[in-house]
Amino acid sequence: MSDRNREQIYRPLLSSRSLKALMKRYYLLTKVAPRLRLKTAWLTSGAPVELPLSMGIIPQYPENYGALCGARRVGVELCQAAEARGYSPDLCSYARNDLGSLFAPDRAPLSGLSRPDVLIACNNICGTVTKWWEHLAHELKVPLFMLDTPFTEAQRPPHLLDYATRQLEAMIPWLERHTGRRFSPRRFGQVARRSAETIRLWNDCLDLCTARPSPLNSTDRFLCMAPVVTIRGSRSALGFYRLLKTEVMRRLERGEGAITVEERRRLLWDNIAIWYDVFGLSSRFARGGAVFPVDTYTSAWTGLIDEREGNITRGAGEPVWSAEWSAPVGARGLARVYSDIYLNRGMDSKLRVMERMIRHFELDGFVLHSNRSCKPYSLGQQVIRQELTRRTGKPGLVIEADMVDSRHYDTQRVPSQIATFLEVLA
Amino acid sequence: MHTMESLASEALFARIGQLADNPMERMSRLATDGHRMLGMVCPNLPEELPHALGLVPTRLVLRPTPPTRSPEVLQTFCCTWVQALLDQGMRGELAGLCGITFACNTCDSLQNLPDIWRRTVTQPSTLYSLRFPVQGQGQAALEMLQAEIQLWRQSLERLVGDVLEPARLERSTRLFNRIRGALRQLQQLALHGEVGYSVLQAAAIASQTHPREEVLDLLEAALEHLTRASSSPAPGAPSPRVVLVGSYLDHPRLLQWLEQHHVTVVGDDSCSLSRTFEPEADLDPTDPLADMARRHLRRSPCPVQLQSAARRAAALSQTIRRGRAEGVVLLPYKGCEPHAFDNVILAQSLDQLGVPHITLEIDPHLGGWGQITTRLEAFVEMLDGVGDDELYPDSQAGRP
Repeated sequence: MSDRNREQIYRPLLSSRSLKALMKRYYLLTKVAPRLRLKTAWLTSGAPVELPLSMGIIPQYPENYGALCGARRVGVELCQAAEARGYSPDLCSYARNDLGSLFAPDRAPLSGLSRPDVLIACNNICGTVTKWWEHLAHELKVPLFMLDTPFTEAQRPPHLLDYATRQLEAMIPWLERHTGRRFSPRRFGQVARRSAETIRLWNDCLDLCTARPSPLNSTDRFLCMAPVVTIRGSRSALGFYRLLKTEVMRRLERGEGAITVEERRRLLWDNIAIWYDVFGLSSRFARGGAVFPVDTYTSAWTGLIDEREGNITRGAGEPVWSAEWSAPVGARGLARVYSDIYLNRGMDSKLRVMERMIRHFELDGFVLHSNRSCKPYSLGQQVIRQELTRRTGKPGLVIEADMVDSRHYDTQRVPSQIATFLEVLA
Repeated sequence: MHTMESLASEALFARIGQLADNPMERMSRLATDGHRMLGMVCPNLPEELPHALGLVPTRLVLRPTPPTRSPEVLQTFCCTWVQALLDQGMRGELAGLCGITFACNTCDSLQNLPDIWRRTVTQPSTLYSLRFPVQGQGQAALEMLQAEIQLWRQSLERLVGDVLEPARLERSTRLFNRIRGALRQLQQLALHGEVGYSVLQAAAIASQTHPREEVLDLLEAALEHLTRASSSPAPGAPSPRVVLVGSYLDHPRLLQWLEQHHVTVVGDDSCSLSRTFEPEADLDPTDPLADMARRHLRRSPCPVQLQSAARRAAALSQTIRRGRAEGVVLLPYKGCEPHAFDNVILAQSLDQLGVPHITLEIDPHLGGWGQITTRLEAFVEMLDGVGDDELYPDSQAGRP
């Protein structure tokens, strides 16, 4: 899809220019960090970045980089580079993309990520990261810290919080030992407060999408989530979300929606974006007057989805780690937030969140991306589809694809499925 | 005399083989006869605990037919073993179980299964997920697992309406230690070519699925006859000799094919075989409950654990040397991520050792059997060409 056609349907965000500049600066910093003798860490998207960031360690994200490679449509080539080294094509495409960028840096955007000093992974997003990051440590020969936050189907028992807390307490001396950087409770407090404020602003932006027309579409959120994933806790991320919120509120005042055509249908998106067709896919929906005011993916970094309160109003109340670090309180707060994320809980919890999203955002239906690279999101979706329709009366569509590996995307079938679904909704 | 002893042991092993044949059908019959059968998804779950509460812990050994019901709810990219398990549940073939204990915090397919199960399978409905730490070291992991085992114990006590008695747990512990000891002894005999690995496979399956007292009696009697039958030290297993690597090696067909083609299996790294009866798996009978978590952490790592690949590669190298293996057959289930990841590092390690290896991606019903055997035949032929001396030039022992 050409930029011109895209802009005919989308209302471009002015803040996307700031976003581009911010992410460019961020990636530049990560590239020059080794020459400046700055320490860098690779992290999983669900790892507690506030700790390394407060110690002056530059975070880098293979998953975010995977999204970038997917959007630039080089994912298949990098996945194949990993497959040539023996990695099964059935493995997660973020993992294959990431490992492929190590094996074939000449084919990787930015020649791949900068070599890290340490690796920090948390298995709150999936079990795949345990093995993927083991392989990164093996290939890169750098130390790995694994924060193990076991999955729970229902309520998290106290001993699992104790377990995560003790690991977080151990992470500090581990980081000090392997990077030579010192931990400061005062500095952590500053970063944590900025992180909480950043998340609050991001939550606000997401919640403002209850408006009709929705000021943001899923594509806007997929792009704008980059700073909250990668550098939450930094001044620049905070600045960006202030700007974004101002623009979103301006749209609301003007009654401007995310798409330029009439918003006739409001849908929920479930799962990671299909990065190589992120605009094309949304535009197919947008041409039929359908937008996605909410999704389960970009909400994952809100840290505060509080279903215990019976609503999904995020950002209410003090985030649990906003207090200055004082172990074990600080570690326990982090443990709770990083253990209880959307993907680390059972189907009941997922169904409750999705049902509330459908009601709260007044949606007409939902789209489930059956993503062969993400089993925690995807397995059980047929059951979820039936149950969600039973509970809400809204129809659902399942699209089979992969977030990075476009070899699993049927470009004939998917548009036809979307057209049929929109007809059903009409 | 020797012939009589051999015949006696053969008859006993044949009986064990019958117990290992179609274990889930047998499980249903046992349940009808009044046994309380508890499904166990993972062999790492401490079997002593349910046994001491009067249950028969039964590892879920799947029927070798393609799934027909689970594709309604599971995508094709889901682990094929999980697909097959759910399929059997949806068909009602596991309804004889009084419950199932899952191993959680392992792989993504397995982790999602209980939630799907509850909504698609009527019986058994009593499901429990025991979480294992992914990193096997440190006091925090130990205490976490101890707490998990305590919760599991309470759930089992509720299931049976009884309280765990220390004396019964001690008896169960001694029983399971003896079973493991017998399986180790049998493995040694297989290593020397006195019995086929298929005999060990059957014994392992029977001892993970059937009432244990009966299996132990049969096993010990068979071993006694077999030991008497062997008057001189075994000369060593004939060539070609291979080591098997995989998750659940429950296919009698595969081992039978190898034995029919005069391939000797001299060891394994599998979730269902030697890892279940290694010495580290034994429990301290004087305080087994406290030892369960420690046992798990000291055992050889399974692929779902962090940093398992390097440790497994080192152990595999020892297994190869010990059995003078000339090749390795890697048998991951299609869709099994932990094994697929580990196999990359295992293959690198085997390349460095100069040990030929082949990866055959399989599913629980061994679909594409023709292709599997064609590739195996080519591999075996290639091993015949490699020869023992090339891999073990310093060894005094020649080819048997």
